[in-house]
Amino acid sequence: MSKEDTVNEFESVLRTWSDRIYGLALRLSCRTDEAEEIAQETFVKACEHWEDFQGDSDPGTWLYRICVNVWKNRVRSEVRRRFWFDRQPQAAEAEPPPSRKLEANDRRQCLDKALARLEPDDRAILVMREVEDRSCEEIAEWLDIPVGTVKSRLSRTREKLKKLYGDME
Amino acid sequence: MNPDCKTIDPLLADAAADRLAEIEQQHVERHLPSCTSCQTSLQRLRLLRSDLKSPMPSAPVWFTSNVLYQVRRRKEGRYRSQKPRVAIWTGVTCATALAMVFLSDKQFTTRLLPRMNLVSIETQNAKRGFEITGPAASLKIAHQVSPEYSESARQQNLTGVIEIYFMTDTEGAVDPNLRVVKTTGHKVLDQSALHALQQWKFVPNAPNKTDWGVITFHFPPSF
Repeated sequence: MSKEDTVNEFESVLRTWSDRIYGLALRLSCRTDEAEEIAQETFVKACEHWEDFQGDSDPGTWLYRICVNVWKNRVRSEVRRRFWFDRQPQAAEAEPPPSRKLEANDRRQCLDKALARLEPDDRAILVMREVEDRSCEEIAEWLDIPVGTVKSRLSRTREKLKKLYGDME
Repeated sequence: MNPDCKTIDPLLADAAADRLAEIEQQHVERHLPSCTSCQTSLQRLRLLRSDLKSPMPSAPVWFTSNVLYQVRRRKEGRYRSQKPRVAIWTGVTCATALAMVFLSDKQFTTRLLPRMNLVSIETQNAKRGFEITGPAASLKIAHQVSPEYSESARQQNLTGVIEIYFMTDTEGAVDPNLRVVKTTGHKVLDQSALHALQQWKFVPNAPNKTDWGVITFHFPPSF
């Protein structure tokens, strides 16, 4: 199959899944600019390995997995960068951009703001479990942590989010 | 907290998501009518979950074409990068040396150079007032519209170069989902170019084949 055929074949997958993957990236990162980059990198990587993907699993699950990996790598490199160059506390960085803070007058904005205040890993666990309905085992495998840790962090994060979200309502 | 609440509380999140096993569900249902605290907790968890699951914004309109552009660029880059860099640099050096030798020869520049395709393509591009790169460059143009360079733009001396990523459908028409790769810096010129390109039509190379390309327009037009 020529490279152009591969891209043409991949295009239908891209059109089907672009909104879902962009939505996931937006939930994980809480920033529109970063979400676009994460989603774009996800599809570029997916297309590079399209020929290796034999269709053993659902393309959605495969794309989700790539998206989570892309996001995870970005968070890790951001943590490393912050360690060496910028010792700002992480919660301050996770705040939504100022333009969004000003519009925080509806439930959606409140929730976005509350999610942005969570630790990135905690947010990812919650989003994958509650929004994407992924099993704790899948989340543990994707984030490379034990299942028990997923469950305990999930419960802690729900409580934290309930409190953050409740305070804003 | 009611002693029973301690066993119910960990189940509430899954109850809100309707993920409980039947026996757990019965346990929760038996407990709830007598406990307002757990009722409130379950209600808040349901609300939180429904807000979390509310539809997210769609990807930006340019997202798909932008990804396809990146994918194609990467694929072309990957094939290029497979060649050893030393060989490429050696080739470039030799070609430059040969070009310098030939260009210093007056007979070559005055008689042979104009016959070569390279010059004719450049001249043709200059005459046409646009350049196309990518697979669409090989397509025949069935209908073209030049971007309007208005009198007011001329008076304001607005200049610039715009590069637009476009796709053609199976009929050869330009897909309206255009992506500006490089802007002129002037909205009026960008809009003029986009408006013109939307009216273009190409002749597809093969039935049911779509293509893509990047077209460059210069303002003021160079022809």
